[in-house]
Amino acid sequence: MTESEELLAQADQLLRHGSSDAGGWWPRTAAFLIRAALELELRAFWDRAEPGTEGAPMRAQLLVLATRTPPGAGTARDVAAAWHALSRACHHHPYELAPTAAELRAWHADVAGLSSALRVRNTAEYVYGTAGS
Amino acid sequence: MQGLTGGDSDQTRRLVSLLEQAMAHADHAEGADCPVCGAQGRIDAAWRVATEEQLNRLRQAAEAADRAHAALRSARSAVQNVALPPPPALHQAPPPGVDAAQLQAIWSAWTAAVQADDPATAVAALRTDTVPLAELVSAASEAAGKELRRREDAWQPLAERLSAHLPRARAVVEQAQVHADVKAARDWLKGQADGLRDEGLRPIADHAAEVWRQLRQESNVDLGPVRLEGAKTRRRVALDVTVDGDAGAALGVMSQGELHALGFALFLPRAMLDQSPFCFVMIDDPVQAMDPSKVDGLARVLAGTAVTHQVVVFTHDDRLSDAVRRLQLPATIWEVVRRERSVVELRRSDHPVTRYPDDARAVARSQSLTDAAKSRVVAGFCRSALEAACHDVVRRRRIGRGDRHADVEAALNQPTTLTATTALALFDDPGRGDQVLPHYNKRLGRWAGDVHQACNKGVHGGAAFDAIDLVEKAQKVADFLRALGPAAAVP
Repeated sequence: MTESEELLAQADQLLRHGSSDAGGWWPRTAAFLIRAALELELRAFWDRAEPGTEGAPMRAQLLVLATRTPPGAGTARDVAAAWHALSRACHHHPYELAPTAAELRAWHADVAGLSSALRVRNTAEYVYGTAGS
Repeated sequence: MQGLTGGDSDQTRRLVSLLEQAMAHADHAEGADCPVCGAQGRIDAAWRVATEEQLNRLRQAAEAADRAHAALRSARSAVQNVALPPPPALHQAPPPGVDAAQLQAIWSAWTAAVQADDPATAVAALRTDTVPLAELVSAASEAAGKELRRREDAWQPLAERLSAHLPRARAVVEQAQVHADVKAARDWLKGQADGLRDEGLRPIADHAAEVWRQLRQESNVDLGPVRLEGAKTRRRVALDVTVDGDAGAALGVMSQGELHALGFALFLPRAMLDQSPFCFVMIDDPVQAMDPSKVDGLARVLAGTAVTHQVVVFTHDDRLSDAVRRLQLPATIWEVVRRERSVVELRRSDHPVTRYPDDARAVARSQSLTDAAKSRVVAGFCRSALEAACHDVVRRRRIGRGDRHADVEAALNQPTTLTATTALALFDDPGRGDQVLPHYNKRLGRWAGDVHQACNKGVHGGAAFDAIDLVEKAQKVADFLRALGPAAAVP
């Protein structure tokens, strides 16, 4: 199991059962874990595709990702959306409460799907990108 | 008969009178000569006997004629009583099956014949025409009787219903005055009730205006008198709302937040009436769509309410609790966390600056996470604690010096990194991020800069660190930030 998968599994565990000591802190904790999983997958993608890109600011990474196939513009857009939503939950913002269980569950599903999309190794496997662009 | 009534009868009387005078003359005369024609010796005893006989005969004839006359007169008079003309009703409403015109004609002809001067015509009509006419009349009479019974039968049930209705109708007429009195009394009572209602509403209206005054803040919507209008099932509250003094479409141009605030201003006084048996108010999400300045007003209004009532508020964002903390209003804040399958947890909600480190400690001690996961999460909570402390400083400083709430919020939402946020807190300028670490090193020592860096990088999987140690140090930096004075620091 990769580290990213491990983080997602722990987030899932928190969402599903919590634990005896998981007081009110589990929602933001799950958000931190899900975002970390997404960042790890992205780092792994750059290691394979364009080593060195992982050092750039995240905004820049997301912009470069959109120009590449794989993963393709559609996947890049989804990665960016998920990362920004999770980041909002991972920073303190005035007047915002912790994310809800439903929001977290949706992000968890998004990131699990995006992880698979980012692991596609070559254009031949990327059916959607060749058909769409 | 003609002989008796006509000239012969009169002639007989004249002859009787002449002969009687001749007899009286002869009684007194000496000779026997006729005084009229002068014949001699003719007025003698034999003449006397013959004349006497003739006189008797003539007198009997005259009497018979008189009797016949009288009989004729009485017969005529009797006929007059019997021979009436056909009744007008026959013409107006003949019974069904009767030829009224024919009957009328026959009847009229019979009447005319019976009343004719010639008794022979009358007698003939009486003898021959009376029985057929009588038969026609009795047939018509029978038809009329039948029709009458038919009409009576038709009328009978109506008459019964009418007679049943009559006493009630009479009672209504007799009680018309009572009805009018009751109506007048009801109108009077309604007027009194309206008056009482308006009087009862006045404290609500006054209180509502006061609440609105506190909630409106920067709004240019004015709330005038509140009135109750309508009757029975169509009642409504009339609001005198104006925008910049202009009535009319005020409600149409008010924002969602203003409408919420207006509804709240009306609801709260009503819930707080002395008549209400409840000494508490429960409000669901009063902050919705309110701009930040109104939230401060709302917090003050609720604090005022809390003097006499228990106030329970549910809300989906943190603005009201933030206003409560900032304005130092007495309130207990609970955070409700809902897990999947609706498992609900309640926890005392402290200021974010203390809550985030508490969460970080709990995560560090947790058995349910791997160390790698813990490092990221603890760093994340510590970073949030520092951000919250920075926001506290900025808000206190900028609202304190009179900036508009909306501008302060915009300034707080602009920086996307911890460093920029810290620069905003320290120097009131998010652009001076490069001076944050030197400032920490100078004021707190190198450890503070390290904490800042660890918080920044640890979330993204930076170098390993002691999670508990990081929390305690981050707490110290947060305390330092919150203790900053309102003036911006000099780098």
